[in-house]
Amino acid sequence: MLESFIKSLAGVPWLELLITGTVKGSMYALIALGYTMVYGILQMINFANGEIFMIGMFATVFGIALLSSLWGSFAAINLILGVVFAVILASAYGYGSERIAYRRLRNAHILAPLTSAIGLSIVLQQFISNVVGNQPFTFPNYYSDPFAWRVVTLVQGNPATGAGDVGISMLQVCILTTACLLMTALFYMIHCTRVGIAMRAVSQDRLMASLVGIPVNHVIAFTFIVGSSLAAVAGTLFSMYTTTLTWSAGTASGLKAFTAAIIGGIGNIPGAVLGGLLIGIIEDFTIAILGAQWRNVILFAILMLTLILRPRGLLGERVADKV
Amino acid sequence: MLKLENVHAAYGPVEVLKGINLEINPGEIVALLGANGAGKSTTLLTSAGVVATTGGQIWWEGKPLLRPSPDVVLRQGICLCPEGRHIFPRLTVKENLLSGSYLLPKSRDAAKLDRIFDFFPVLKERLQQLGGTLSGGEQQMLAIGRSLMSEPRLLMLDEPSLGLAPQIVQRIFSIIQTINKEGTPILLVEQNAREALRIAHRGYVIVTGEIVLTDTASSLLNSDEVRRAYLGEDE
Amino acid sequence: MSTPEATPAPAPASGPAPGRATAAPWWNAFVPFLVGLVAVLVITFPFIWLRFELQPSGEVYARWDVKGGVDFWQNMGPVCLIGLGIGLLAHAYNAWGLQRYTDQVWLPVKPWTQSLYAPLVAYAVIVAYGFSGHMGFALAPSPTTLNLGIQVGIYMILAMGLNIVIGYTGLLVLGYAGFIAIGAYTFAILQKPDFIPGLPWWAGIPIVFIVGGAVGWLIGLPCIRLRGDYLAIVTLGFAEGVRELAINLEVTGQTSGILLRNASKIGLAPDKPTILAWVLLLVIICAAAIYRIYHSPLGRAWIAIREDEVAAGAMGIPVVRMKLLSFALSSAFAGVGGLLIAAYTGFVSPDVANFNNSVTVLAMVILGGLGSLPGVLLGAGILYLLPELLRGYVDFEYRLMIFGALMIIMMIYRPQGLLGTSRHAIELKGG
Ligand SMILES: Nc1ncnc2c1ncn2[C@@H]1O[C@H](COP(=O)(O)OP(=O)(O)O)[C@@H](O)[C@H]1O
Ligand SMILES: [Mg+2]
Repeated sequence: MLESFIKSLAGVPWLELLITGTVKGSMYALIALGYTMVYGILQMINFANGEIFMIGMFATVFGIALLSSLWGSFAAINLILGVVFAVILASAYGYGSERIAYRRLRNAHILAPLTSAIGLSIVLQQFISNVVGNQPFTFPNYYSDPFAWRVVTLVQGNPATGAGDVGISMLQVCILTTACLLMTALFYMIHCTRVGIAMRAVSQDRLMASLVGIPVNHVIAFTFIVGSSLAAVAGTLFSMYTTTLTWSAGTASGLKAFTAAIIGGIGNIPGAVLGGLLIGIIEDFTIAILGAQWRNVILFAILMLTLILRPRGLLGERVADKV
Repeated sequence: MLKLENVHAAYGPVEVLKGINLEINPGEIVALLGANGAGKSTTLLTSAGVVATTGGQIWWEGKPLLRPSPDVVLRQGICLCPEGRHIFPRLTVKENLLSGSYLLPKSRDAAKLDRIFDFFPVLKERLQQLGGTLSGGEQQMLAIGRSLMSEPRLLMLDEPSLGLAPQIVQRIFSIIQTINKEGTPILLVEQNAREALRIAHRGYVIVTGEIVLTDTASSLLNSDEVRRAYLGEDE
Repeated sequence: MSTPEATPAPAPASGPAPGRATAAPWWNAFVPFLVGLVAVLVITFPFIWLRFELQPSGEVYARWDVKGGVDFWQNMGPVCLIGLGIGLLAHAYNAWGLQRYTDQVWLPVKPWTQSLYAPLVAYAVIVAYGFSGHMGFALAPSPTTLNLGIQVGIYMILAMGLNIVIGYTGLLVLGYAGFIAIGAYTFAILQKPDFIPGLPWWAGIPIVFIVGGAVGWLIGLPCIRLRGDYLAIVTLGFAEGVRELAINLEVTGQTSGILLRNASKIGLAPDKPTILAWVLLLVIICAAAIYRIYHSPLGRAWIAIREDEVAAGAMGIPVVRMKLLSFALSSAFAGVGGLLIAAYTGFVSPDVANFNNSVTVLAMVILGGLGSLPGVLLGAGILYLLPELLRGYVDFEYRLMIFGALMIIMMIYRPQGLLGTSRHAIELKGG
């Protein structure tokens, strides 16, 4: 058994896994940022962030569909506006969830907002499951096919069939670029703008922030909106990448992103990015080596190990970066 | 400008303010004196919109003061620099200062910062240091500076001398006086009654949630009653 | 500038009630609600009233989906009514002092002889009724009703177990189903021919209790020190992990699960009254045990931790050990519940560890009353009967959505649940 395991290790296409893992991980990182930002500012886990990601997925397709019916299938415009639609709608859901489920519980026992968050995430996922449908949908490939071509080939496989080729597709490039851009923008916003200062001030001392004139409610709502927008973009990218949309995607990816946030050190922005990438890579290696059915077991094991060995996460002590 | 009229406030069932009457006129420094737990901080917190009133009215420039939350009060021109300083520990000194001018035009920031550095040159040297690593005196200066960033038309200071060395207290008090001379009325809460009365124009004495005495600062300083009770002097 | 003369303190304001300067019109209170309603209608609009259609070409178009929309709102009508009803009930509880009446009902039931008395009478009545079919009683319960009773009973045990950790100690466990599955699988594996053939279900209870407690202890050990929300996620991950392990491992029968042999079932299918009697007896035993624990120093330590962990630690309560104990005890009861599910349904599948299962039990505890034994029993009853009552009005798929909405509503209006009472109230009045 051990032998066969080692043999299977030897055949692992590690470069390809590294690439796909990084791509997936960058999307997890985008979701993890939402968890970590809200945690930083409210010290609560916005459990519904994964659901917002899922809403973002569906909203993209709905947006594209609406525009296509409106003026026809213009691939680029519809896709971009679809993402915009998703960002707006997901932000509305994020803002709404803060207003309805969290704001009144801000000073309650820690159990209360968390329970409310779980309730909210159940409502959202059941809503989509009941209203849109509980079977998986495929992403309209008319809009994702233009990204399928290979940008570079890193390893040449069998020249005749193309089997064994390792390369980077346009979609992967786009995902990585988008993720990098968004993360840089977020980093800039938090560290170099007034809103960023306000967000950090609120996270450190909510009452004092209010006393120096920062409209705390607006800043918190803004944090939710930013987190939801990131999740929505991640939703679009993820549904294009995996070509499927399901109502349960939020829980699945949300759990991974959340683990990523913990591994990186919750409340810590670079930590969430690092954790996301790690989770993505580890997941793809697990699938290749052990099989897809083991990935949650491994995920859980990693989560436990992190909590035992480094309860504050890998970058947990760099409190200066806390939002 | 600010006028508290029969203000009551409570923490849960415990009534802490039992009808406070207090007035601040333009250009004044008013000292609010009282023993520990008398309700001085609560008076300020109530005026700043942190604690709700259970009765009475607070007037600001002739109109009722809107107090749904502290930031709304601040936008009407009243700034509270609370007890214990409450510097944002993981923001740099500069960010701490800038946090005070959120929602105000950016163009005025530079001038305001220069003014604050005139008052507190130390802060200029520490601009990139984290707020939490400053010494107590520096933190108090930063807290006052941060309050000034919001361009207050009334500044309420809660025990600015708390836990500071005497020389630093002198410095801070003289700067408070300067700020006042430049036109900002100040409501000053102090344990250190003698110092406070030295720079104040008028004073109120509060005992268990009620104003028991009000007079000019010099009369209060010389009144036997106050000397015995609050200045800790027996001669 | 300054006033030279001594100013007398201004005279106290006389006249009408101080406070707000202008009275707001009465409808002002409804404005945020209406705005919220409109906003919700707007942001849910595309999902409810539109449908997207994939073309073979890979393009996608939107279509009106009037039927789907009407269908949804038809289902939502009763759901909203329930939400409103529960919200009103909770509000009434807070505003009209209904608390007093429930306290009057429950407070006298304090000494432990009395605490057994009422449930035992109820037990006798229900079981007699369950058996009345055998005696040819015309209004005897149908098999469906009996089945419902048995399920409610099992979930009562589960809810009481979860209540230990959430209601008493104030730790959120999201993956309770993982612990249920541990119990169910432990029993199912043990009764296999290669282990203990013919293991009767009642003999499995102590084993499962100990195994469940041990697993809870092990899982709790590394993460009990962490903040409460970490624990929630860890347990959630744990349940997912258990489910996948069950799917993957040979010994758990992979996706098909394990079929129990007849000797290990509680009773055989037609003999529902006996099963009901056993399950309800177990409910009473568990309730009595938990009641005793709650009113012991251990229970008081848990409450102290829930109310203020730092203070509890300062008072000399070994916080970590107490939390761990409640965690382990709770998972031990989960094990018993899991065994009952297995022994009643006759098989175990990885679905036991589903998140839905965790949520169901959680919703029972939250609805009924965090930290209140009668409360969680009531919660289990309501949540099991609710879908039955709604049958024909609301599609079954909306059940979880109702649970979720209930959790939000309860947290906002009555975080301690319907019958949840704070310990202080009990001790002030009943002491
Ligand atoms: N957050 C609070 N909750 C309950 N009681 C408080 C709170 N803050 C202050 N008090 C009580 O209110 C009274 C007045 O407090 P405070 O205004 O801080 O006094 P001072 O500033 O004059 O020393 C004290 O008896 C204090 O115990
Ligand atoms: Mg004070």
